[in-house]
Amino acid sequence: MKKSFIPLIISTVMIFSGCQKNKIYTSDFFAMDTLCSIKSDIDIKETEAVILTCNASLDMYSGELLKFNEIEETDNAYIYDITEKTLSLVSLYGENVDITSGELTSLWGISSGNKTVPSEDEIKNSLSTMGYEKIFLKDGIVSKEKETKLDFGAVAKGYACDLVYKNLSEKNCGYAIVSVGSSSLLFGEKPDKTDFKIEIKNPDGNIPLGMIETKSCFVSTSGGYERFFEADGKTYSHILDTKTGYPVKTDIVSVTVLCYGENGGIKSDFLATDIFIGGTENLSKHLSSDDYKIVVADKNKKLYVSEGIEFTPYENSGYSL
Amino acid sequence: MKLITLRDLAIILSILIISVIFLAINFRDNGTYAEISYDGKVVKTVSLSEDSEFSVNDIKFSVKENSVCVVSSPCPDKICVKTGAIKRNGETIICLPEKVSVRIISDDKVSADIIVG
Repeated sequence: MKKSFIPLIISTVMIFSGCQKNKIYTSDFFAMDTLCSIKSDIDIKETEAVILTCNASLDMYSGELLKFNEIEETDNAYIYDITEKTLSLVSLYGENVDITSGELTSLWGISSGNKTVPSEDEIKNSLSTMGYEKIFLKDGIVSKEKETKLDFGAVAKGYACDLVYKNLSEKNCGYAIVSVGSSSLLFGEKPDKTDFKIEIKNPDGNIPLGMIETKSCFVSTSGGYERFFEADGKTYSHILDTKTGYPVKTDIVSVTVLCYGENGGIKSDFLATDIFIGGTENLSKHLSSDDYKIVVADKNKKLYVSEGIEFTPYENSGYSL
Repeated sequence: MKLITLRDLAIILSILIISVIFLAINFRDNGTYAEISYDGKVVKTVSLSEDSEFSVNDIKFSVKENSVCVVSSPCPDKICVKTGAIKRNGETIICLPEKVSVRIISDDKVSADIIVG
């Protein structure tokens, strides 16, 4: 009679353990001038450290980049790597994104909270410090003119996602969702084997624009509505047109870019800003691209969606295809 | 020999009761909540089903009609106030200068893995 208890105990333990979900680790923290959040089936301490280390080099208001911006040369590996990768994106897609715009960014007080409209002379002065011809890469050394200040705001969040991707691949992670502000990495496969679901916020309403269903990818967004500021009764976007020195004038209100595979993070981040600045008149080449996919909303409440992307627009969002 | 003894019945019943307790534990907290964090650590959890007002680190919040918003904040840019009210699973309000963030947590099974834009 006593023996019959053993299978009973075992089955009871099995029933109860079935109630427990697989352990999912989560973490929220501030870095890269934004809120970062990580969710994964493996311990995420290391992932967090990857982002924080990257932040220590690339944050414009502290650390290595702040030091480099006062001098002419650095051998910082992160600064070298992100500059090299940005330059190759610039050669492919043009100079809408300008990482030499640090002086202009500080002038407008973007990110620092001090938001004032600068004078024309001040803008002219900072434009004279900018341009890709002012930075050079050689043998692991980045050099620039002393007055030129680098600002990786348009690429650093995506770049951080790339570093995380590399780390998670090495650790054979099965599943992770990592957000670094406006850039995110959807890694591996969800525990229930379904596609990742990405909802796109509505720039001016409650009902989202729609839902993207996708396999593992990088996703970055750009839009003028979240970090705008008001001065002298006017509203300004936080994204600057690096040719004029003023906040960008564009007919696009929201850009979402999906990229796949290695180095897709920095690419999606770069393209989101590039497409936002370029406006709808430059959209066709992006809509037909094979290696990345986009969802764009413009001022006239029209949606533009790449072919081959699984996107379901929501009714009543006010935007339509 | 009896098919079921009193003892068997007692065991079956106790398993049933324990299972129901576990089920109840799994299903409690059913609803939508706002998690308020400071520097990434959750400092307050508020149900959205009841209207309320509260503060975290000088930031004033209001819960109304199943949504939460920042009413006022000492930060210079007021991005958190401009974000407006949020109610959907995974939506966030972030106040960078004050290192305060709000995230909506709900049991909504069909909702997105990530909200962007």
